Amino acid sequence: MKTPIFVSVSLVLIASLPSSGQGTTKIRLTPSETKALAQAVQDEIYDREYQGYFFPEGGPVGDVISESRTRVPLYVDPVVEDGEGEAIYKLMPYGEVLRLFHVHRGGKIVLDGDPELGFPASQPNRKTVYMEDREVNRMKRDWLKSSFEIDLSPTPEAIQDVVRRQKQRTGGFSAWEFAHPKESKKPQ
Amino acid sequence: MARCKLIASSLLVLVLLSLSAAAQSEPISEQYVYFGGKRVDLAPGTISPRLKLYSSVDDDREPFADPDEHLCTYSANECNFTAEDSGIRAEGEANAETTQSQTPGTNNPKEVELQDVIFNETGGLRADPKAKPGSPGSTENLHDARVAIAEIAERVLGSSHPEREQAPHSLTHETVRDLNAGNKDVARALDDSLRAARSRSNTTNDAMHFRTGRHKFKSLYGRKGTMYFGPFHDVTGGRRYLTVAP
Repeated sequence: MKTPIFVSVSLVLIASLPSSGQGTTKIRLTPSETKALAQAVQDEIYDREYQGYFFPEGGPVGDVISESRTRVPLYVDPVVEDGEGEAIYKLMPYGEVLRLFHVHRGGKIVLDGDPELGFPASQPNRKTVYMEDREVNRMKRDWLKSSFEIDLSPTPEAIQDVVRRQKQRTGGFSAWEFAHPKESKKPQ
Repeated sequence: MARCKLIASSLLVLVLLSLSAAAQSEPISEQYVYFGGKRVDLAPGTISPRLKLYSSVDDDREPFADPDEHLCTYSANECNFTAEDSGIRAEGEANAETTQSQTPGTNNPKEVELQDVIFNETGGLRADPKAKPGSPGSTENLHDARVAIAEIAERVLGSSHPEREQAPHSLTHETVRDLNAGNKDVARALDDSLRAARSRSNTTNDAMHFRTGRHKFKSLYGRKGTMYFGPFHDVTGGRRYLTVAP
């Protein structure tokens, strides 16, 4: 009689542990999650129509692939704490930013914060110019180095895919769709 | 007999586990919303369509009219809400009690700006429903955090360097979308930001810096932290603290 009761109590206690929120779980980011992060960063740029800012007069931001395509470095903290990770990358027109992201079940990556806030020093998602140089250098040195590519003129089909993925990440919000309400209502 | 007891115990475990899971996943029942600092009851399903006072707009940012012809502009605060507008009934009072006096008016742009700064800095934060009233992470603690930000942000806006960077003093597209969709959490956070903007207090003792982060900061810009708030939940996940420093 005592054994089943002990098992029951133990199982209930184990089941209630994750909801307590007191412990800190650290896991390593998988290669597929890193790829999903790069995709999320790229999608946000197209969804917000920031791609033009990556091609200023004087030359594109990142490593030139072609006249209209560039590869931008993405530094990622390999350790995800309580489902939350950090990355550093250039997000034009704001500049280089430290960005939090969330790893959801199934490997879905959701970027934290709203770019429209401008990444001020008061927020956890902030421009790296507000951080100590040596700290930024350390992060870039120790973190995983990945990259994402930006095309100056993505196709309408690519944009539709971006919008679809963004809405899945954000619970239905797409900045592109918001800015183009008439176009987004057109039949596909 | 022993097998029967084992089966009974296993069933008990399954029931307890399912109850535990339900308690974690069940959305919090929303039966009221705060508007203009007043708690008003919600009739189920009425708030969403009636809160559509905001609209997606093109870059020209022209004013638009809501279905009830209450004129609103791009700045989401420039609408005159009434209890009737929201399809909601003020607690113990007649329908259509105006809350206009509690909403930021177009004749007070500084209050609108301050409200938006506070909201933009804290709009993603949610109180921990398990926190005891007044304790770190509670609804009261979150309001106090907003008051602290209100005080500092107002000092920045009113200083000789108002360009000192903090969150912008206008609402983002996503916030407008959320309000359009009748997101009660966002509406409540916006309303609480307004109440904080109107606090006119000095709980921060003339502090000039604040920062939200995954942890508490010992100091900001070399100044030792003097006040801490949280932990709060972030809507996209994670825990957030607010640190205040002179």
